Amino acid sequence: MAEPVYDMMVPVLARWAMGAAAAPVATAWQPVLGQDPAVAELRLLALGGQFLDAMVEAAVPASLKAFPPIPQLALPPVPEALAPTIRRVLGQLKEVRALGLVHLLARRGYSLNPADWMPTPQDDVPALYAPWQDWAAAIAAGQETLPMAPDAPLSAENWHDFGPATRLAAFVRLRHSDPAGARALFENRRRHLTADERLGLLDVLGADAGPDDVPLLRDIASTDRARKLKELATLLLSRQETGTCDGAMAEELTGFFAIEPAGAAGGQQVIKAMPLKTQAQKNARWRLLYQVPVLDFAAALSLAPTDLARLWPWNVDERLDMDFISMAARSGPDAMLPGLLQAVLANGPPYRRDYDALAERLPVAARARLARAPLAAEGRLAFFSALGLLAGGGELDDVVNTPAFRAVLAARTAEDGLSASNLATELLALGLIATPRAARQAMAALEQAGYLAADSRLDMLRLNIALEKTGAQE
Amino acid sequence: MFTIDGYAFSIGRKAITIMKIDPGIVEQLAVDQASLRAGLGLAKPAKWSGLGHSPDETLLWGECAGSGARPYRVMVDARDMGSKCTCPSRKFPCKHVLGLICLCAGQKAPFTPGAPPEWVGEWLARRRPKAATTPAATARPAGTPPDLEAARQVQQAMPDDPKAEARRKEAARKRAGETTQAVYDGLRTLEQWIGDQLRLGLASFVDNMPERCRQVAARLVDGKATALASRVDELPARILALPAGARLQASVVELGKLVQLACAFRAQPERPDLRRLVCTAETRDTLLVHPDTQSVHAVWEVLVSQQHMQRDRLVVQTTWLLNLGDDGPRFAMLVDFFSKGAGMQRSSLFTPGAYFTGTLAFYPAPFPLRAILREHAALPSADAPDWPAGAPPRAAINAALLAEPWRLEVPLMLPAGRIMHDEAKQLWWRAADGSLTLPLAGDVPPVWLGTDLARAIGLWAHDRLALLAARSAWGRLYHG
Repeated sequence: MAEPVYDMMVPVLARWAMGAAAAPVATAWQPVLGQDPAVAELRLLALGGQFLDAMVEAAVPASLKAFPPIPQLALPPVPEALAPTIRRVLGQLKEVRALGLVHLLARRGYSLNPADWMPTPQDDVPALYAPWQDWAAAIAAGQETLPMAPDAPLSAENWHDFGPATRLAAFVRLRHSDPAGARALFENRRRHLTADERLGLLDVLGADAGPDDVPLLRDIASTDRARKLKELATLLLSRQETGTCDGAMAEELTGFFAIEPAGAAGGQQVIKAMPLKTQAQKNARWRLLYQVPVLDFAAALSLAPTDLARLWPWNVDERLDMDFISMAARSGPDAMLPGLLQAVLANGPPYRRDYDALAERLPVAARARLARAPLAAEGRLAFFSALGLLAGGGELDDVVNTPAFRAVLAARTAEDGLSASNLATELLALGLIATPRAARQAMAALEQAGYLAADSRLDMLRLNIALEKTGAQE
Repeated sequence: MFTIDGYAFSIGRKAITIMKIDPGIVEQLAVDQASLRAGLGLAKPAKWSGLGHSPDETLLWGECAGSGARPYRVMVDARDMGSKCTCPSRKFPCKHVLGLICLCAGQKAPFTPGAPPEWVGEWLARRRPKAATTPAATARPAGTPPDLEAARQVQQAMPDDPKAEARRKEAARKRAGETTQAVYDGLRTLEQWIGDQLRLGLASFVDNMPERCRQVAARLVDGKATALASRVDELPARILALPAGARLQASVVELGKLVQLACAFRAQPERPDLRRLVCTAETRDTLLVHPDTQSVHAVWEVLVSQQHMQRDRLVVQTTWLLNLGDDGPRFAMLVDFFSKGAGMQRSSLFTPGAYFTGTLAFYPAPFPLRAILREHAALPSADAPDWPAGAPPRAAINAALLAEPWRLEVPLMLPAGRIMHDEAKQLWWRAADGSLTLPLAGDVPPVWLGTDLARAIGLWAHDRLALLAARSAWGRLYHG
């Protein structure tokens, strides 16, 4: 019955599009359109509009496809009772900071609900979420199915059974359990991988690269097609051996320093920074500290790399200290890092963003030690700085008895204290880095200082405490 | 510091209680006599719901029925008499805050002790404690300070004057008649304009919609067809959101609906639903006494709260509710208007997924949808009933369009289904049994794509479905 009207509407729409009267061709409705041409057009418009609205349906393509289902994760979702708080906290967190909550929940044995948060394939998130990253990549690529990642260790045979993120997670596991096997697998596969895939895998190898990896690193540094791969391999190589930079540069850098005896007895040595007279000299020193690896610098000074941090002239020039820390964090061998951390904590400048690069090189326990550094000063965003240094690894127990926490307590009423937004950020970060015990202590102290329990800025601390009560899995 | 009944009540930082507030404090807080008088007028339990105080008796809150669809949320921190209300008043504190304090001080209604609602927590997070002074004492303009006793006397001396009431009614009737006449003129202009668009060609109309619609909308405002003017003003936004290939047909549908609405208004200018769509909505008081107003008490679920700004810089906030009971309309729409930056747009107000039991008063209409909230109380999600089944989607669309052919969108409850995609990456919702497939308007969050939807709710408009909420293996999903 609608078919003749539908056929009629085709010329009607064509005429209206061009500005011609359509009533004369609307034969099926002529009796109700009337004789007045203007009225007839309006009546036809009313009738035609309703017909199109109610009776015309979009043609459904024959080739509709479903998306693959979201995979289940290894950890259960957060208990439903905590979901409203989780949503509130996620609303308070900026995109990048949301990862702090993701890490905290993973440490406590929970995953997020995908309705609340979903990682992108590029996010640096706990391996737990790798199946979702593969799913998101599959959705973007229009794939209909998502392969089930095997439980078996990654190998050349099952390489294609993994998605990109689950494969990378499996490669990390393989590297931990069988470093040589992981290296061999990388060598086997690398000719077939894209530059981004190679970069991701080399990054994993680089996290604990040792002398056995040197031949592979040399090969990549000299033969890989991608510039980023060459640069990363060269950097990793520079942590293992000297000679990865021009020797003249190392020599030039040593010209800015001198080894001198310490004290009158002369038994000890110290490094002395030579005074600089011009801005050009400062620029040159800064450039060389960025370009010359630690091993080459130490060799040029005839020092062991582990002695560098101990003999460094701390607290003479803060910018110089930071440049040295950045240099060591970038190219220092693993063996140098404990001594460097000790020296930084004892003598280093107050927290700077440059410390984040050093934190990335440290194991979890050492990272926690470094993360306490900003709490020792009443910095404007001390807890937020600590959150960045921890980078999802580890929690802090003693946060209440710190100048940073006292600043938060005072900020509720102090006019010249933290700004409102900084205070909210600090309370959020505090909740993200505190152990449950520390969170309870902090909550008690805050309430005693006049914060009301209902204050939504305390949501993250409350969530931290509540997660323990639900049965935290450390 | 002030005392009453032996209780010390200081305006400072020391913890104090709200249990016996000196009624005289409102005199100190009120910025003028008018506020004080209005505040006293609001100190009636019938105007309030959700009254409560924190266990330590430092916080006081409640919700007061205002002129909007949703009540204003009022909160007071007794430690420094800091306060907040979601009403758009520029007076601080507003009459609602004063009303709440009077209500508590006079012990005229029970305040339930308990954990403060989320919106109180959010306010606490944003505020700084004040210095130990009352705000009005310094902010108040020069002149006679507010007098509580005088305000009380005014409250008591408000005699019913039958002659004045009759005069008011006659004036209102006359005004309505003048409005109708002006609207007739406006509708004639609109129809001429529509005829002009057909003569100029709809292809040209699609290319020049914003400018042309703006012109006729301004003339409709002059003709007192304010609501219709907003609808015409927003027409380009609705159509330009569609794919280019669908815009011509959508223009025919939109303009055709305007013709139908104009005809219907001319035939029955007193019909409240038509007057609402063409002129303006009834006031809350008018609605509550109208004989056709349908009051529905049920459990409601908040589906989504959407905002858009009108050309006059008024923000329109539309909150969609699902009736989880057996009686009354399945969906309800609360519409509030507030000026940009007035603070009403806080996301925590009627958060998607929240439940409450309450009574809604539906504006009279053949397809009742728009409503105001009369009273409500929060409901834990564990106690919320399951989603009911809805009418078949096509039948629901046709029923709504038969009742109100000028309706722009129809809320739908969809059966089990899943989101699909075509080769052009356009998204579709398909029923699990394959009996129905509908194109989606716009994108949805990723989680919707990778899960079966046991039920879904969407708005049908311009042959497309905008999904609002769904039930899935991952729990309830909300979008909008």
